[in-house]
Amino acid sequence: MRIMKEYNRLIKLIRLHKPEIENRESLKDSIMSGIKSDQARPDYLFWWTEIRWLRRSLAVAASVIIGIFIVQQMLISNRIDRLEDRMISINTEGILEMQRENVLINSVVLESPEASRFTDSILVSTDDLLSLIREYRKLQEKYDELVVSDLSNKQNSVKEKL
Amino acid sequence: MIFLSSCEGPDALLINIVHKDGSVTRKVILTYTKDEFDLSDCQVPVDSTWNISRGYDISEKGDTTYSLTAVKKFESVDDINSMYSGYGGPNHEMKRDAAFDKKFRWFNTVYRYSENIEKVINGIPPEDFFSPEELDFFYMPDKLEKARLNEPDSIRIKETILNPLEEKTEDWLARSLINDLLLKIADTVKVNTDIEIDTTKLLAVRDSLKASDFFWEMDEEESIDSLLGEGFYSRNKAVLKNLVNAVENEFEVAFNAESYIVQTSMPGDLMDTNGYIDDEGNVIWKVDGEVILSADYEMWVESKTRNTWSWIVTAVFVLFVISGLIIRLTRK
Repeated sequence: MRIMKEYNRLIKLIRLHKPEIENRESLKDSIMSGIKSDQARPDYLFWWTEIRWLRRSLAVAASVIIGIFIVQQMLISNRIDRLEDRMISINTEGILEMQRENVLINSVVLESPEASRFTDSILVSTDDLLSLIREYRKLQEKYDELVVSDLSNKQNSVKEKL
Repeated sequence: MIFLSSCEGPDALLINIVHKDGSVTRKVILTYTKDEFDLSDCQVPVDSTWNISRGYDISEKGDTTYSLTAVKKFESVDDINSMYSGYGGPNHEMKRDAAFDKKFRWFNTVYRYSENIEKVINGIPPEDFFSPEELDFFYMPDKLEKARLNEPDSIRIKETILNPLEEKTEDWLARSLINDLLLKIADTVKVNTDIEIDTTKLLAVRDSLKASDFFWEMDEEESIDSLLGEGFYSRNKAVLKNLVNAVENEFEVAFNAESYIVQTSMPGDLMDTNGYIDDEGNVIWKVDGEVILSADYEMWVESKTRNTWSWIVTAVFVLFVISGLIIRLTRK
């Protein structure tokens, strides 16, 4: 009621102090054209912005989707970072190369008549055994080279004497 | 450790290539010093229906190694599980199965592949016995361990982790066997009321024992009497012999296990795994007697692929809403 009284009082004041309008016709035309254009062009794309509940719902939905996206990407990123601890510097070819080495060394072990002892002997580290076998093969190669060079030296000395 | 891994026979590398639709291309590469491959003797199921090719490699020293590569595509993990259940090779007592799962998570699709092997005895799970650093090397394939030892601080790793790990592994094996035996005895006591025993004391004794003495220094009667009191073995010999045989038979599954390496590659980007990752983004695990002894062994890996269409739809929707709100603000 109070608001209506105030409103009426304002209307009376405006009527008493009417502004002088120049060019009434052009003002009327511009107002009419403004109203007409709004009525003539309905907003197909963004009509929903005028409906409060729809506007708010869509805004909330968009925020939630952005939030889900950020959380998901953060979780994935954390999990991927942890994977770094599990990386080893090798590839499939490297594994196959080690397998070839492994079967060769195992074949050396198993060919030895002593190999049957391993099944019920004290526990031996595979790593140490394989290192031992590798060193043994290296020594054997060096020994073979020494024997060959010794033999050739002897042959040379005999030739010289002759 | 030489204790629970095999020396004889070809080495096997099992490669799983998992596809988005759940199908798996399996490749088995056997390596041996002789050109004698018996598919029925392979560590994993392989038969004549696979595409098989052979090759050989001659090293710089003149050593020849032969290889056999078998490839087959399985339409789903159910086909792989059927192969496992029909397998009669050296690892036929291992209870293995594979699983595949795909989850749509709007922005990404997450794939999970796992191969599971049931534990052999009710021992002590490695996670309850070893430290995290030790576990890292416990599960690590020997080939990767060698690669890790080529990196800096290899001496520290060898002295502080690998050497103590060997001794601890021996202790763990013994304690796991004791645990299994005691649990079997406790179960038997519940069923067979003729045997008088205090089961709470029984399980408390296990921790006070020096496990290595139990297995390597004492005979069967001494071992049992040390756990359950003097004369217990002779009074309940028949039942105990059966239990000890049962433990031995179960343990033999691990002892006789033919080891192999499993390598898996997944669609998309790797997200998480309990295996080891090589330079090519493949995930690697070892399978041998030790890892399957006391705990179910699950080799799992997860990866993701982006759902591009959902990213586009989401971006369009979010931009549409933001545009509408901005336009409304400007109109106001």
